[in-house]
Amino acid sequence: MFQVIREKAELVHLNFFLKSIRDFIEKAGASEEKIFDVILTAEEILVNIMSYAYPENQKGEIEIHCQILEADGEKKLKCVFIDEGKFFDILQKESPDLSAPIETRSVGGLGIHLVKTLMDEVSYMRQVDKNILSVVKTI
Amino acid sequence: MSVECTRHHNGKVVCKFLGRIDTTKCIDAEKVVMESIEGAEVIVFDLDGVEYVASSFLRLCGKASHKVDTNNFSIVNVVPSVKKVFKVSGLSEKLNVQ
Repeated sequence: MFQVIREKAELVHLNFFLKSIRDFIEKAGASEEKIFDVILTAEEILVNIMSYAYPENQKGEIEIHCQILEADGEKKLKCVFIDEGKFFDILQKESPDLSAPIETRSVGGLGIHLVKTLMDEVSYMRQVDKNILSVVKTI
Repeated sequence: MSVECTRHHNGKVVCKFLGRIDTTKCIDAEKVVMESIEGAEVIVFDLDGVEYVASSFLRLCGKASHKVDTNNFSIVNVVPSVKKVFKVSGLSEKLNVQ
């Protein structure tokens, strides 16, 4: 199973992206609990890209490649988020200090922490002018 | 998603949320919630009927909790999937999630 989802990096398209991903993993037979984790992860990644990757009046696109990998009786979902915005490696971003007051934490910090916690694997690659973020989760 | 905040005579404000609280819905709800809790002594967020929250809602909870004394803010009727989001964010105790 493989699917490409592409749309402008604008908040008005958030639900389109999330519904497309949900339809894809539902077809793959993921449980509601796994779907929850994947949708929350996707939302946090997408909102980050939509908020910070592109200048306000020059929003580019986000492309997501989702596929189901099957090996040794395990089913894994892999989704790759690609944008052509400014360099941003979420793995270099330190996890927030969970004991610090919430209002002093940076916006996005909590979301990135959730992504790293809920997914089995997270990897980042900068390729020419593209941010390529991959997440993998056993479903 | 909808939110309805009720102010009680003893300075307690209860905000009842319903539905999925994603980033866009949270942006819409924030103004209503912050206005409704102004001057409250006790704030309760009732999440009965909320099956999903994004990190933007966690930040809204944090912001709201600072309007009252510690222990006077609580989040009640939280389903397990949403409870997990508060837990992995390290906010369950701080926000008195029940």
